[in-house]
Amino acid sequence: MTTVKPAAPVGSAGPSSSWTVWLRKRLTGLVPPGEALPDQQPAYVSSWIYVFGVLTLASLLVVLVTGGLLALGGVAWWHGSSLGHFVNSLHLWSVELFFVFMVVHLWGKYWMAAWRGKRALTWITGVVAFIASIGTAFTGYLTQSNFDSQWISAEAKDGINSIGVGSWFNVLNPGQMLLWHVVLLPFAIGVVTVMHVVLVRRHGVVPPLDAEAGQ
Amino acid sequence: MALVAVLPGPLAAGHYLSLGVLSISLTNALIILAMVLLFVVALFAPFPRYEPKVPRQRDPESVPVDRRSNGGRP
Repeated sequence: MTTVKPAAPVGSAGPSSSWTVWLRKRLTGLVPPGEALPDQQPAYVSSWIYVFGVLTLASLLVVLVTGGLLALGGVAWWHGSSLGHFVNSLHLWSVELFFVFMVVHLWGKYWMAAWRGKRALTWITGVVAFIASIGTAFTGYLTQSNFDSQWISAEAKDGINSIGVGSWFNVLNPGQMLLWHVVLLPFAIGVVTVMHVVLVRRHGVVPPLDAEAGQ
Repeated sequence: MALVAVLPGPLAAGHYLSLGVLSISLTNALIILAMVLLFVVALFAPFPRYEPKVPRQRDPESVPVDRRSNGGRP
């Protein structure tokens, strides 16, 4: 008598060598269960100094939305119409707040030694995000397409040439600077910011120096 | 000179604070001072608190054994 082996049901857990299984395990294991979007935090988080990280994120969201609108509207729109001026100002002031919040966040984390407890990579991604943000702001100055951007680019040209990268990073090339400002650097900031937030959720908010994690 | 006279306000030289080789615009100095004040206020200003209706409970079985001493963190 022959027996027929029943076929494995479609969608059942396959061999662990499947790349989808590997990727699923990696994604679901990035943060502990329930910590991706927590509704409660340890008691020590109830301080205004812990608010500046999410304020920085909120500012970044406004920066990205207003920057996208400026890119869609174009130079003539942001220079020549009332609505363009308004969105341009929103972009400027959200960037100002973004940097203020990020610097206060940096000070707060520095003075509580936020790299403690396996959080070194969280600290490093924050540093990279800060540096990339400065580069994005500088290329934003060059993208204004006004006398100010002409003056700044002419001044910056000597400095960039002096470090030997002037032929690859040409601040007198508005098209190249526009691409750095609206594509390459925002993409880098986005990726590093996502890594930073995932790491914060993975390792938890750093406790003050005189407290223990999870109190 | 005539060109300077017709330049709009934002292109004016502005006010600078100088101390030896150090020089900073008054605007930038005020912004940095405001950030320091914001930092100090954030450290000491009281934060609004509320008592949750349902106390937080985590299923201890969902946390790997090697992570239970660290609040479930890797």
